[in-house]
Amino acid sequence: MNRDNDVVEFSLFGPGIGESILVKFQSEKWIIVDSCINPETNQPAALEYLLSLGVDVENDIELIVISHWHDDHIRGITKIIETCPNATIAFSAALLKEEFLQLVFALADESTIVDKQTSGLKEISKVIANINRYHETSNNWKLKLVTDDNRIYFNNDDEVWSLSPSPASIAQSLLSFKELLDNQKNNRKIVVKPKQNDCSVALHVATNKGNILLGSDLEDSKDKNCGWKAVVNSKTRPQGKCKIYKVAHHGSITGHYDATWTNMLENDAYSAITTFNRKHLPLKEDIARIKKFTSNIFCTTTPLIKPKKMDKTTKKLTDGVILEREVLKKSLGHIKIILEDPNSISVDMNESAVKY
Amino acid sequence: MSALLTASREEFVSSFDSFETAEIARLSKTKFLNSLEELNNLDEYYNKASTTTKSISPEKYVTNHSKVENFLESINEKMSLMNTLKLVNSKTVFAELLHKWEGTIIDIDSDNNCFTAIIRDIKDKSKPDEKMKISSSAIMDIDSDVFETGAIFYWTISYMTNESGTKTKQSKIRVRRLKGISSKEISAAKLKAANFLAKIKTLLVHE
Repeated sequence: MNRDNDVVEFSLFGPGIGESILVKFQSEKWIIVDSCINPETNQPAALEYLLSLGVDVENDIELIVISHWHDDHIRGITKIIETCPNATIAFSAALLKEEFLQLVFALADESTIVDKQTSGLKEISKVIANINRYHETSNNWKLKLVTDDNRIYFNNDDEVWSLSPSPASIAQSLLSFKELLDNQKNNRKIVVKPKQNDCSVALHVATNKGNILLGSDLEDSKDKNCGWKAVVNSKTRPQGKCKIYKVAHHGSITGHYDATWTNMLENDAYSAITTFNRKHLPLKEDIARIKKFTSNIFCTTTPLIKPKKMDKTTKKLTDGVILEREVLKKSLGHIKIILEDPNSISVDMNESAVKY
Repeated sequence: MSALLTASREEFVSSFDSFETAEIARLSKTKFLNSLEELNNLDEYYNKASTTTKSISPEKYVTNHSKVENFLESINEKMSLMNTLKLVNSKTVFAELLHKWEGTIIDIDSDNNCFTAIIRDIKDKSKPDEKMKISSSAIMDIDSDVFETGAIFYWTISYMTNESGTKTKQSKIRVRRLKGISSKEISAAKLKAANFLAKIKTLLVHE
């Protein structure tokens, strides 16, 4: 993929269990939303890409957004923050509250034994440790707490608005953080990805070539004050429709709200999805549902692949015990969508990505 | 007797658990697997003994009493064995480990008696992780209290050879036990959280 100048670029990376987003403005300034790891190099995918383009990451990364704390959105974010010292770090406001920080310090503090997988707590703990250290050595660090309908970045025509989390979503999240900690009192275990993603930060990126909606893992909620209902019905969010959509929550039904498509997106919006292999997302029915709203659907990786056969002894011993097996594929998908002008969009993908 | 038996059994299990978490890293897999097998046998024997004592004649009770005493002795022997396990001659019993996996339970489907786990191959780390749906019957009863979403388990597939040379195949899952988070740890975390929030106030920017 070649670098395009004087255009707005949206790049989505996904290795099958994570995602990371880059947006480049015409000003040659970039924002990074979340982080995932390239399984081949074990480096943050977005950072590798920027360095391969020769971007001055120390000065041209303006904003790094941590949309929420789950491991599929946050792996490698510490390294990105360390490498881009002049960027403002934007956190979902729910993550810099006592309830969440207690969870982090209790389960994933630097001095605590932690597991390989901690649903992002370990990575958040590293970020916090960095903030602690940086606080003592520099005055340049900038943190921003993100709630609904705030402009968190602007530069001439370019703006980034946070659309969530709403106050009600934050309140719900804080309750769930407390439950997660209480649940560790009997036997210490992995904090698996909670079912609700209400504290996720959805973003509206406005440029003079077109707007981009980044759905993070925000889900629909029965509560009109939470999730997509709160976003769509807000009178104080940017009202311009978007040409590009990073589909919420890996295309799952839980992240879907019809009005998101009809009220916030242009017709046939370019829609990019990251797979989430642990839950088989997006499902076939998810793709079918999204097709009702757009014909431009791109996914970072193809569906799961069949695993190799086991040796006879193992197969005999596990017959009736292992009911299903699937390989969690390790390849990095990259979808790049270029806004050349308001009426011209082009898409480039690597070999792992697929168009539906 | 029953209370004594229960207490001894719990002590034994507790001893085994602490042994598993603290010492497993430096003990041979063979001896560990063998100890697990013995623990299973003891459980089975205990269950049979405790149910039969309820409706038996005095003569039979004496017989069972004797059996229980033998069982308690056996427990003591096994505890002693575990404390000195490193001294056991490794040539008498051995195992050939075919696979060792580490799993994380990500979902439990009680209706269908199965669970979903992400499996990592510990023996061959070059292999990709797999997602497996596994029958809950593979979880041993003694692990039922820690069988829950987020739990880590270790799954071994091995050939076992006993003292008489008989070779058997074995698949065994043990759920990891780690001491739960304490009130003291939670208090410490609360203090750190409060201190951190006070510290970062100067870093926050508002538009």
